[in-house]
Amino acid sequence: MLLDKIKYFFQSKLMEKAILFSVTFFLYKLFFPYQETFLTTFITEFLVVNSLYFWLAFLPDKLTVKRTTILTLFSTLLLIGFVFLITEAIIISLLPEKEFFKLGFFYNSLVTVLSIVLAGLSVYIFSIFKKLFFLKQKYSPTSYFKVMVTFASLVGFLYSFSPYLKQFFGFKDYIEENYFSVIIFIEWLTDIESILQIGLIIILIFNSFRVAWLASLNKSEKQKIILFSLILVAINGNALYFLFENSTITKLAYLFSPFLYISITSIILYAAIYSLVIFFTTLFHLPTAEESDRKTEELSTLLNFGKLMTHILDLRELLESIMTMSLRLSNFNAAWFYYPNNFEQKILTTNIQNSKLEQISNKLLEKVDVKTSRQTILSKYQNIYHELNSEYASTIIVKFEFDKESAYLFLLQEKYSDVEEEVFNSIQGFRDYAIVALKNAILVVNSIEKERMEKELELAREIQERINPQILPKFQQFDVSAKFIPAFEVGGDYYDFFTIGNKTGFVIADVSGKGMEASYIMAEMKGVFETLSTIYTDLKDLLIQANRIFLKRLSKKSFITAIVGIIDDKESKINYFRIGHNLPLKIDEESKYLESKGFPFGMVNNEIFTENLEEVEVIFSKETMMIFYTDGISESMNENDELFGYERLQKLGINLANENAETISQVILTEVGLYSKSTIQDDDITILIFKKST
Amino acid sequence: MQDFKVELLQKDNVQVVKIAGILDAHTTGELEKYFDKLVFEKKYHVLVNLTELNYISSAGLGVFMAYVETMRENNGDIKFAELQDKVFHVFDLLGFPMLYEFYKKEDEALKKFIEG
Repeated sequence: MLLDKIKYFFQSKLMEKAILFSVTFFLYKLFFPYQETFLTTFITEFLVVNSLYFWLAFLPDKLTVKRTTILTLFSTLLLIGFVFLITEAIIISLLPEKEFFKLGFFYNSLVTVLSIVLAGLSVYIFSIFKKLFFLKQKYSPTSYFKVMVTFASLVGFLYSFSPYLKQFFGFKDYIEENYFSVIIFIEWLTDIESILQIGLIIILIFNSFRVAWLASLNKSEKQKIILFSLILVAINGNALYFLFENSTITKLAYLFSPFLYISITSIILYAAIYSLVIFFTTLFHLPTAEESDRKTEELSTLLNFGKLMTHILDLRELLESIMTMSLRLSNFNAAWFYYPNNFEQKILTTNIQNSKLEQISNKLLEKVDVKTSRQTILSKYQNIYHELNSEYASTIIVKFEFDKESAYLFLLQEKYSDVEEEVFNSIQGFRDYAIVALKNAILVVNSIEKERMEKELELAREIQERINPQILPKFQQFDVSAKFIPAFEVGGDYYDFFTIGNKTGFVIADVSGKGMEASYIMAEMKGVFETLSTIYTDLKDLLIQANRIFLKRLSKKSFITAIVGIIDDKESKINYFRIGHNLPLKIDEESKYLESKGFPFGMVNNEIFTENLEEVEVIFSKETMMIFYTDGISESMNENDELFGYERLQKLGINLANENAETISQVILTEVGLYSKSTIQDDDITILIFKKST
Repeated sequence: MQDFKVELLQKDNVQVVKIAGILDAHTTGELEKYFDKLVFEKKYHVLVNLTELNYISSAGLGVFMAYVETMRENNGDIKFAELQDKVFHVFDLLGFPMLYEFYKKEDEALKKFIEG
């Protein structure tokens, strides 16, 4: 309980207690400026020890509150050191060398204030050194620190009280029988004093070698520390000189408070020794500073990349990070990524046009054997050198191989300097990490792309299904069958019936391209036909208008092939135009593919389109059958990449001539399916059969 | 599946593009890259040799349609040579022979280019 209370007393409200003891000390000193008796000395030292203790306990914590760096600590040290020196100078100039015992009250209080200032400054200096002492130590060196403080305190106490002890024993001088032992005791006391002093100095020096924090500084910081520590050595050395050699200060301090004098002297001595150690240590560390900087950098780069790998799945971001890190590792100035199979590249800080880099990459890869050459001097290849605006002296080409692909990273350097083995190795090591990350990112990209495509296809199929008619119109003279089998990827087949004049029209079409784009055009086509058929009664006019619209709407590389016709149910004939589509198959006594001119929609201007429109009239007899189809039938492939072809279709038609339209279309589709059973159906299949009804 | 392959050869001022395999919706993208490259390099005299082309789909034809204007605007052209019959048939269905020059032999086409 009592122990806890004592502990609590020494660990709580530090600032308040520090201020309380300091103020009491100050007031006390105004009335009892000098040590004259044992009692005044005792009170003085009691107050001093407590003030020092609480300030020391309070200050180091304060120092960590702000975001302090080693350099700011050092600049603070410099500032305080200067103030300390100036304060010393003021004290010396104020006081006469001798006889300052008899100064008046004003001088007394002034000297007291200045002495307290001196004490405060040294406490502050000590706090900073305490912080440095404990900085970045693997094992906490608390015990060494405590030993140092204890030694200093012992020296201080002895210095304060030994005169009284000597005096006390000195009075008994005349007791002869004890004479010898008293002398021995006084001598012993003096010996103890000097032993402790020597011990203190030894432990001060020993504790000055706590400079582990130096290693974490970079080169420029180390250079600054050298300068700072040199100045600190000078300041503290001077301060120390005054403390030891100037009789004014020595006397004053002795009379004022010997303990304080010893404390200040120890602190300044410690500061001087520590600064000296810092100076020399840093000086010896400087030549290797750059190397250790680089090592630290490398390590943090690799660590960063480890974090990065798990986070960056966006390919672009990843490429950029790889470039940034490689630049940091190599100390090069610019970089770009070349990913030939995707023609994708990303540039970082070069002034060269993106479009040029692909060529430059290719040329470099032709000339340089990436596996064996480490650093390529660009001026060897004048063309490339000029194409890079003569800005870069050398390049490192790093090859990233994954799966079957490879990508290349080009690192460029403005001024030539040799790339060390180690740098090259660390880039190579880093590359292995990067490849894993790249693979992951590509996997993600692909799976996202796949999902997107599947969604799109689903939608495209839905559109196509809705566009193609669900019910066929009925005819008196014709037996009609229409079949449509969608490919996995929507192939752009389309068929429909529409009313033109008082007759029924039909269209079977194939939009170039696949997927969403194709289904979009198909939907548009349905709209175009439905609208135009209400305006035009002549099919030719309708087609010319349709071409005009598609020329505008379709991209340069897209077109639509079609056969558009009108069914005359009374006369039992069909008049059709071939719009660049597959030739229709006519089966009767002599079966053949009917040839006629005709360009697809959206391919040629209206003049050429109109000129080449050729109407074909087929009058149906009992045996006549017309088979309209899309290239999904004629171009369906077997496992040897052989086409189903026109002949097969023709033979089938002839053999099936006596069946009804539904059966014929069914059998043809089954045959096509059997033919291409081991391959994926790549294109939509549509078939439209007209037969004379029986 | 036969591998799709494109080969570029420079003959005089004519760029010969040799296409092999199957040119359909899946491979047009790659052919387009080559044509982009030709346009970028301002090579407008293009002779497409299709000896080794086994199949062409409508999407494949679209590639030539997309680039021919650019070539012609720059006093160049796209001409075709050495087509297999089945491939020529596809071109024919679409009326290509009226819009493009087709040659049995590459040399004939080259000669045409040189004569201007």
